[in-house]
Amino acid sequence: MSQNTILEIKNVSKVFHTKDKDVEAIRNVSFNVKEGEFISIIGASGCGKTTLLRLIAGLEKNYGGDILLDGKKVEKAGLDRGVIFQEHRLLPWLTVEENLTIGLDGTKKELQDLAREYLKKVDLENFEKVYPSQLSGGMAQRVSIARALMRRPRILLLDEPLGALDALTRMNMQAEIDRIREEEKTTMIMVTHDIDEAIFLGDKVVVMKPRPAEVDQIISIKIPRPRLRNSEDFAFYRNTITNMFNHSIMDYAI
Amino acid sequence: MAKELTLTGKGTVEKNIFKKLSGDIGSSKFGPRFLALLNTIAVPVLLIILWQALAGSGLLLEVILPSPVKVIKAFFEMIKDGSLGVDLAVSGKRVLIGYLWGAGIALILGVFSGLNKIAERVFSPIINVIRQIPLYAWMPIIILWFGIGEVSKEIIIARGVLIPIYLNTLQGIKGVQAEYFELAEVLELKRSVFLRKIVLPSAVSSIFTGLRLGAGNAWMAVVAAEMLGGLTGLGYALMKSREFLWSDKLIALMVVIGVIGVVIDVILRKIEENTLRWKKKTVR
Ligand SMILES: Nc1ncnc2c1ncn2[C@@H]1O[C@H](COP(=O)(O)OP(=O)(O)OP(=O)(O)O)[C@@H](O)[C@H]1O
Ligand SMILES: [Mg+2]
Repeated sequence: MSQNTILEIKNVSKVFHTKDKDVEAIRNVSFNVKEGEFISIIGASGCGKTTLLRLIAGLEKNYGGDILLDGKKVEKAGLDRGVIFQEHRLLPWLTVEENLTIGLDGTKKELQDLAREYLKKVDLENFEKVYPSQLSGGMAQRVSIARALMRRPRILLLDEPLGALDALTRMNMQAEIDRIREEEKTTMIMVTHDIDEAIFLGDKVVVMKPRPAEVDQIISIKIPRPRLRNSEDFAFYRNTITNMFNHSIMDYAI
Repeated sequence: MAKELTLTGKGTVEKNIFKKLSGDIGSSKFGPRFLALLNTIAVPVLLIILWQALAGSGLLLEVILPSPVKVIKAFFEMIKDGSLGVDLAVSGKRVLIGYLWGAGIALILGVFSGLNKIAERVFSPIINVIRQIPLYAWMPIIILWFGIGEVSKEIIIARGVLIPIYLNTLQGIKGVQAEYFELAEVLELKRSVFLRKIVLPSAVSSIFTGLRLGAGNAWMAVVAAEMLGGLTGLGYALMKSREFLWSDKLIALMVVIGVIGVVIDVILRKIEENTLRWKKKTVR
């Protein structure tokens, strides 16, 4: 697979200046993302994963280094990057359909058709007129994925999108995201806490060191899809990454 | 049965007792709705009985405390001679005009201040100073400037309405979650869409609180304003009743004023519920 590089992250660092101290959230992070690739980012809690994703999304300003999307420096948020937050962030006073089409241009009919088409992609047919409070957590997160996909972003950024779901729903949703990736060929970067999730979905797993976030290693996952969690290959990667964590925690302690 | 008890433990037993209790209530011949009503009106009914007893005992002069029956008679008398209708219409019109002005200005200033730091720095201190001066302290100067005609009364009402609606609108709009601002950035929403689809809906609950508080204030203000002068309106009728020692009419008027206040609140609440339909829907 020889694909174009879509996103370049070069020596990116970010310091938060708070009242009483400066927090260095990210230090010298570099990696590239190719078109169609799925990148899992994994790291200890509070190490700076969300900050990195928000930087790519353009929601955090003033950073060191360069983030280049199709060669252009990221300065602010925009429709070329779809963001799936940890919570679904649907507007409770709008129906699913209104949530999906908010801010889009087109006739009523066009927008309705578009909403229906994308709801179908996330397996939620006939949910157009429903309010978010009538959806379960997994369903709401699927709507938020549809909302992002509908805008045909160059890249989809997912910040622990399944973090709030129970284990079973989580597994189903992982399969769902895998299917969407397969069908839409969208480039995706997903932050997660869960080693299995990172391996199940990722072409590459970026392992971060605890604070401030630095790239520890980038591991290419060479298992054919769809992946089976109980396969030998899977176990191999699981062990490798788990060991890495043990080491980096040791380093950190010393 | 015994096995079930040991298995389920204390919590379930307590739950069963609770269920039994509520079951008894539910299955009684009155039904739970009637009981809830009884719950609400028990104390008022007791007070009225006490009132009747006290009035009937002859311990107090009738001028001081007329019996409930006399008050009800006075009420129907006022309906029959048309005076209540006229007073209501006059006061109602004043409230409506004053309320619309006050609410309109408050909404515009509130939305503006909520969206714009500079506007907030201009208006909030002014409103705060106005707020600190009680309504009664405003009346002399308003009357001095505008006389005792309609305009004065409407201004007094508008002043009472302005404060809660402004403050609640401002608070509601400033309360829009930072998360939604980010969402608007990510979705590249136009400012007008952001205002209509995100800011206003998230502030609407708070705005309604303001509108309801304002309505209560308007109703109080009109009575106060009419007691100062003029020859019509509920406030004037109250003053006249006092002067002529018509205590039965006086109390009847007070009850009317109270009931109408409640009715206005209930209507606004219904409108609010209708507007916030999405809140009620839950998982099917
Ligand atoms: N706006 C901010 N101001 C100050 N410090 C911040 C801000 N945002 C994040 N931080 C700090 O930066 C560090 C990294 O935070 P971040 O949320 O990126 O971590 P994370 O890896 O996503 O954690 P988690 O796995 O718990 O979600 C933390 O120490 C956090 O306190
Ligand atoms: Mg995070």
